[in-house]
Amino acid sequence: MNAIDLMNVRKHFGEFQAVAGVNLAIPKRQRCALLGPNGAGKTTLLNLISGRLTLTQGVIKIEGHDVSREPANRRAHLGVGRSFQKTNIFPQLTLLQNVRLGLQARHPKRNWNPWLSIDSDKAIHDEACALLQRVKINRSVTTQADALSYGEQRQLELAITLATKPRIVLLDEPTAGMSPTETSHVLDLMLELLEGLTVVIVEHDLSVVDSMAERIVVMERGQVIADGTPAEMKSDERVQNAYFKRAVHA
Amino acid sequence: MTERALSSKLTVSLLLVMTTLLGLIPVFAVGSGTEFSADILIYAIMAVGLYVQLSLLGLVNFGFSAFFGVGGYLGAIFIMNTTRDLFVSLGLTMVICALLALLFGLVALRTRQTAFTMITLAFAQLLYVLSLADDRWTGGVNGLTGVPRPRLPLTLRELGLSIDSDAGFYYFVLVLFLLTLMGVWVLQRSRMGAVFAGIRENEERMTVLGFPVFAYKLSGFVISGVIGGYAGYLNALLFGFAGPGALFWTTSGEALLMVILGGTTSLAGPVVGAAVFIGISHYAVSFTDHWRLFVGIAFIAIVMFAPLGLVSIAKSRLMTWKPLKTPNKSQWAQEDTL
Repeated sequence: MNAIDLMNVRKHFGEFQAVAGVNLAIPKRQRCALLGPNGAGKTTLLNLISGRLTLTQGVIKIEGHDVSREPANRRAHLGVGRSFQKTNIFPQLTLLQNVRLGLQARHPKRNWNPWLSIDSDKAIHDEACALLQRVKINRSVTTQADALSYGEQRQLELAITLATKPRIVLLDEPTAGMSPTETSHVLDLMLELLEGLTVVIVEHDLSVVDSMAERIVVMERGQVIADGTPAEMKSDERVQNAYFKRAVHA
Repeated sequence: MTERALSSKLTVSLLLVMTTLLGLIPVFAVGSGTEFSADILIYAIMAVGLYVQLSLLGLVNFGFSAFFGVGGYLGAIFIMNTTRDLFVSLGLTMVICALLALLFGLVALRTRQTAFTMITLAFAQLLYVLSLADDRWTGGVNGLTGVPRPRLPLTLRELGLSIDSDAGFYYFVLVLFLLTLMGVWVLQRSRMGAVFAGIRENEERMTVLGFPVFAYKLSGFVISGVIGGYAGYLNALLFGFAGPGALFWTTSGEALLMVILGGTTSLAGPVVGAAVFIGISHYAVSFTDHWRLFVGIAFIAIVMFAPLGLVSIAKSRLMTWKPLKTPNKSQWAQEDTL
């Protein structure tokens, strides 16, 4: 059984076809990169998989379950976690509160109890602190999230995503806007922490793609134009024309 | 000391001092002092109800008067037509306010930000117009007058308890006020309160994490509506009157003003805000008909000098305050050598 199955997936915004009939099967524990020029439909596809956008047509299956009409929160319970192009944390809450929310998401029924104090839950506190250590944020857990540097906020976002114990992680440009040092640091962290998980990553930095991806899917104008290993993609003329030359020129 | 720990200690201390002082009011109050204090407590309950939406969930509801007004009318209608039992009439009022909040919430919470604010205002104004249009149940423009005080159950009456006197009614309001504070205090520190905070900060992230955001917002909306409802019920009993004014948008505006004046970041905020607002309006009205001018000036001053509200001033003072310590001998010696 594949982790993700996309069958004739389409998303139209009025006349514009952002995703135009994508068929893709991503096996479990594979790290797959989506490449393509701006406007190719990569982020839209990620949004369709996570449930942030609704399908115009097609079928999406997560580990065999048809989730085509399921909202984003139900897909999260099937093990789909994601990070965003722009840092998506809880800026006014502390680091501890940020990660705790990710942990709380794993126990949906317990969250409805208005009498159960969150501060006195030692297990959730310890787990959140351990996660913050795993993503190597060396700050007090009571630090407000908006006081972190951009790189640290990305690390925090990763901690929130990992707190839900996802089996499938969707990463949208996780190193965008980072310095080379920060990129290298976050890349090492992702390789360590995402070991054994299914990963779909949208990334423009080819060094990150080279290090992360076992498979590259190249998209252009909402369609998959090439699909293979990184070595195969680098020698594919269509891919060269569609992406690599532009990336080199850029 | 962290801000959170300080906030907790400040709130607990305030509660203890407040409970003691409030308990003594009927003993020392002169004239209409007890009735005036009950009025403040009732508006504080209403403001705490709005605090659940505004501060815990980040929902700017400009139609909160709907619950306050309907609670008043329901209480009056039940007591005058159906039952004189306090707990039955109060319970029925709360249940119907919960259903009303559920109905409003199901529609209003599908919108966001300005649209949400406007749709809640529209709901409240709709109820206001309906209350004016109906003479039989709401008394039209004159409202329902001569609402009697309901009776306590027989067992409590045999103990000599009654809410017929100003003091008796005041203590009943005080108990409900303290229960409301404790309930919201526990809620905001619970797992559910943490989810509310997450929704307030980043609704989209909460959805992607797997939280049924709409259901949580709806539950907060209903809790808040019930609190607003029984505040309105108490208001009708205090004055023996339920009128359309309680449904009008100015009541919603006053509730928002109370929370913002006191501060949206602490549960003490709406209580302090209600006390200041009712205090200013009560005393200013004896000098001028334009008492709202004083409220407006106070509001502008607070927004300019303490944008986080009056409670934030006390908090920041306490954060920077350090007790003076008597230096020990070695410290004296060190200073001498320096």
